Amino acid sequence: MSLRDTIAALLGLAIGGAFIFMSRNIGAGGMFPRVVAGIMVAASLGLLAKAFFRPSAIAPMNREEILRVTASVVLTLLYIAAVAPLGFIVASLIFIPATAYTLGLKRHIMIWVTTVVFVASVYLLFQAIFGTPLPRGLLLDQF
Amino acid sequence: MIENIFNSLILILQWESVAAMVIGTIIGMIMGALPGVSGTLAVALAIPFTYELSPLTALGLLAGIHNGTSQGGAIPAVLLRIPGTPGAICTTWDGYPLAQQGHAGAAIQLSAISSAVGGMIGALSLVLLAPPLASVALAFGPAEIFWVNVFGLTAIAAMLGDDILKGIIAACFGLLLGTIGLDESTGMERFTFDRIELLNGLSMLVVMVGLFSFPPSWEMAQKTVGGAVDTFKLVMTKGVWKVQQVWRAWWKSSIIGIIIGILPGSSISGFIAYAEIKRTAREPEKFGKGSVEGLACAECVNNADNAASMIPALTLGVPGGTIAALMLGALMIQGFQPGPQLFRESPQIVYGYAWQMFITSAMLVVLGGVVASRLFAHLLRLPNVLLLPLIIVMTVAGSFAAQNSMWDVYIAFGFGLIGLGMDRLGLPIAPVIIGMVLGGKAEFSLRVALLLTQGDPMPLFTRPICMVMIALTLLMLSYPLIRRGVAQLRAWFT
Repeated sequence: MSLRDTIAALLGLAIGGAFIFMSRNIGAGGMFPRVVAGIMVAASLGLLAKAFFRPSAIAPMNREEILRVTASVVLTLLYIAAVAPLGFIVASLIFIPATAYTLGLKRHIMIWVTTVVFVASVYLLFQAIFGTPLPRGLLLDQF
Repeated sequence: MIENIFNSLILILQWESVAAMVIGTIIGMIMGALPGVSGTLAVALAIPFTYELSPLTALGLLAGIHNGTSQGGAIPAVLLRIPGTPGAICTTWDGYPLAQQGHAGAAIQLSAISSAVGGMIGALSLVLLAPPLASVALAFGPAEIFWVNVFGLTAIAAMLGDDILKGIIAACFGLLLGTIGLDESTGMERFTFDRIELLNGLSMLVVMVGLFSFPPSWEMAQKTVGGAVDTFKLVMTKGVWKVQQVWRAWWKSSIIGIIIGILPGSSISGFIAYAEIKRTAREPEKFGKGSVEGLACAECVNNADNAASMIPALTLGVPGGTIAALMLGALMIQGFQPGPQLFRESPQIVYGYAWQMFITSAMLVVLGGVVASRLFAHLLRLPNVLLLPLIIVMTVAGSFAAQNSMWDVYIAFGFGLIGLGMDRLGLPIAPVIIGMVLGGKAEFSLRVALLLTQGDPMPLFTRPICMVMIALTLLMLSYPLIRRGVAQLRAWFT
């Protein structure tokens, strides 16, 4: 049995089932989502059956790879949470080196020069060329 | 048509459009040269920047990136045997051996010129083949349009993944995401959970950016630091290849690229063209050991199918691949509805885009030569773990800029997690976005068709074009069985 295919099938069943349930009170507008969700449920059942008889092979990540990917996801989450209060510039100036160091890069000059040049370029590109202000942060918003 | 072709040429030669094409091609080449950054990721990252641009400037930028990444992918393929983009896999087979023989400069020059030739022929096919197809498609009624969309979605689901059931699940997920928001016909809210932000539905741009930008960046963390440092010296040796040696490979692979590129969901043109050119080559034994014909074919076909994949996208509204789906998304963000009407209502957009694909292909000869490659070779020294946060920062800035809202950033992050999960579960991501692109149109066509037949579904199955599309859809659904059968037959005979 393939655990991955089973999980994919169960998720498909859950999402399809949820949409069928939620579309019961929408009237005519619920017809299309119901049909699509029905097809999704049928395909998921097919995948579930297939998972038992003919599992598909996907290269698994090893423990270190999982840790590294998880670390990058968590750092991204923290970065996104920090953008609004700290502002785009400050949050990015912290995030880029933090990620590089966490994932094992130790070339300080490369990291800091790249960070400063890149953040300044992105900020100027949005601010000056596209006229789209990026978040300034709670502190700068006071001024 | 001729008048529209010339008028659109004048429009795209305005300085904003020319600047966008040059910048797009350079950016595309740089990003394509970075291992792990695919054309899809490059286009997805660029779409938020096109929000504020005029339509032809935006399309010029994206056309440049599309063609540029295809050629940029050849640089690490030749220098390091690392395909910068999936399309450059065949390039490694002959490009790297040529580099090992001391001809890295000539190999990169040949790949740039071959990409340019393929791209220009592909762009011409867009001008020549798309209008007649659009004229035919204009005769389609709502029922036919519904089945064309079903066929497009089935083709993508069947051919873009290893498992058609997973493709169907992903496509249905995309279709369901497309139903979130106010129902256009009844005005009723659907799946909004009383969130005002969801009334207009999920922003396609944000979903695209989230699904295509976050997962590949996070997956870059899998590899330890390292980095591609040992690049060959780009010495330009003359006489390594001649036009007389490669022109057959150019036109044959261009035609193969165009034919296969038109088919929705096909991503195998490179392999088919390589096999065909090798089969008919004068010296097939050189293939895989540094054949100039092999390298010319691999790069030519890559760029030939770039424009060809836009033919079904622009004429029928059915994207031929992931990047074509992103391009359709970009067109819709600009307020255009892809499909046969686009040729009648905004011909300058269609022909202007074809010109831009042609011109950005031609630019590869100038921008993709050895001098540029020397510059890009330095980029190969940028470690993945530093590239990762840079892409994340771009993604966050782009998602925010769409509507100046952190809500979009949170949604993009959420879809990034969904994309990562799908990737690990072996669910293809492209059908999700294609489902979102096609869903609204498919639903609208179905409802209008049923309205016209006063609720009777039978005409949906009995009209001639509908029957053809249903037959093609069933053929696509049985594609995995056919593929398995062919493989078994081949194994049996060998």
